[in-house]
Amino acid sequence: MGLLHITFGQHRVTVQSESPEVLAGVERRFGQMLNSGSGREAGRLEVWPEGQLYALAGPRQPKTERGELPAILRSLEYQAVMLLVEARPDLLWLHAAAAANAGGGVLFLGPWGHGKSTLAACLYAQGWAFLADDIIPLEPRLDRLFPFPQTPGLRRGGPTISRQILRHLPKADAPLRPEGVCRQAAPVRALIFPRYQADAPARLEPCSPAKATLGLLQQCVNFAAHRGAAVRYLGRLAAQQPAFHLTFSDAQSAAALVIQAHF
Amino acid sequence: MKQNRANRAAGKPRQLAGVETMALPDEMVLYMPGPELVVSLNHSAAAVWELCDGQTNVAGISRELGQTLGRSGQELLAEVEAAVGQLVELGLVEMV
Repeated sequence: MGLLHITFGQHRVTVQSESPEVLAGVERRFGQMLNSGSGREAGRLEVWPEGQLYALAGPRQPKTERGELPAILRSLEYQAVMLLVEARPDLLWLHAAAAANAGGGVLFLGPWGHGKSTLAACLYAQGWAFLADDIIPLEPRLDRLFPFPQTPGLRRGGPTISRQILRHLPKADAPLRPEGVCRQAAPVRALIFPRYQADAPARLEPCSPAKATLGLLQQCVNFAAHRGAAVRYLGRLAAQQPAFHLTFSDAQSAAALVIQAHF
Repeated sequence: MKQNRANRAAGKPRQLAGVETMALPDEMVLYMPGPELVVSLNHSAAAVWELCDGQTNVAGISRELGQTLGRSGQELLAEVEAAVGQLVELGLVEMV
């Protein structure tokens, strides 16, 4: 029986499967978050083949889920992340990608399809340390971002592709080098709300603290665990850190703007 | 029509209890627990909100803002009415 341990801090999610395809899928998505299995178990996910399909069982699901491998792997990834989110309700979990330079972490916040992963991956390719691809925990008492380095999943497309078409392009994993991953908690240096728009030139425009507060709250995955405390903390964060809207079609140009901003 | 407007201008808007405010540079964020409503107000709307004390009617709020801005209260009345109307719709202010 194969076991993999997806780790965040003192917590881990154990994935148990006999299927090499499943274990390889977990390694692709969580390669930089696997360890030998120390720490507290936040939950155990089990996947097994059933004919042409796969079955997934875990503590967050009342029923066993069945489906084709890609769908089961996506669900497994979501379940694993949510088990870790639930294991640390004291943190504010934001739907964001992030990369860090010497000064701290730049957050790319927004819903699906706005280019978060692509921008963080571009900065990583330019030598920034990779912090997170899709979700990142923020420690409100320390004002620090904790690394949550899931492998970036990128859609390859040119700057003229509309978002409607982009959503149908398959995602390709962009593996991370261990030395390129940030392992230390990092302060927040800037908040960026990206928006991919076909044919748009890269443009970085200031976002007001109130709008940034709303943007942060909209992307707060576990708002229900914090409510008023989240509003107060994220409002303070938005007032203290520079915040921007970033419109772009070419991710390299957009990343160059972020680098030139010297956060 | 004129009578309706006069009635609206005579109403006294009051901030609902329990709404938390957070002042930010040139703006304000309001948070209402329960419905978990979070709203951002621009500078003008924040100024209206701060004057919703249940003692001052809409015309009075317009006059006070007008004095601050060097404009007549009458000139600002329509904007203040609209802002108060939105705050009432959002459930952040009640008319007393």
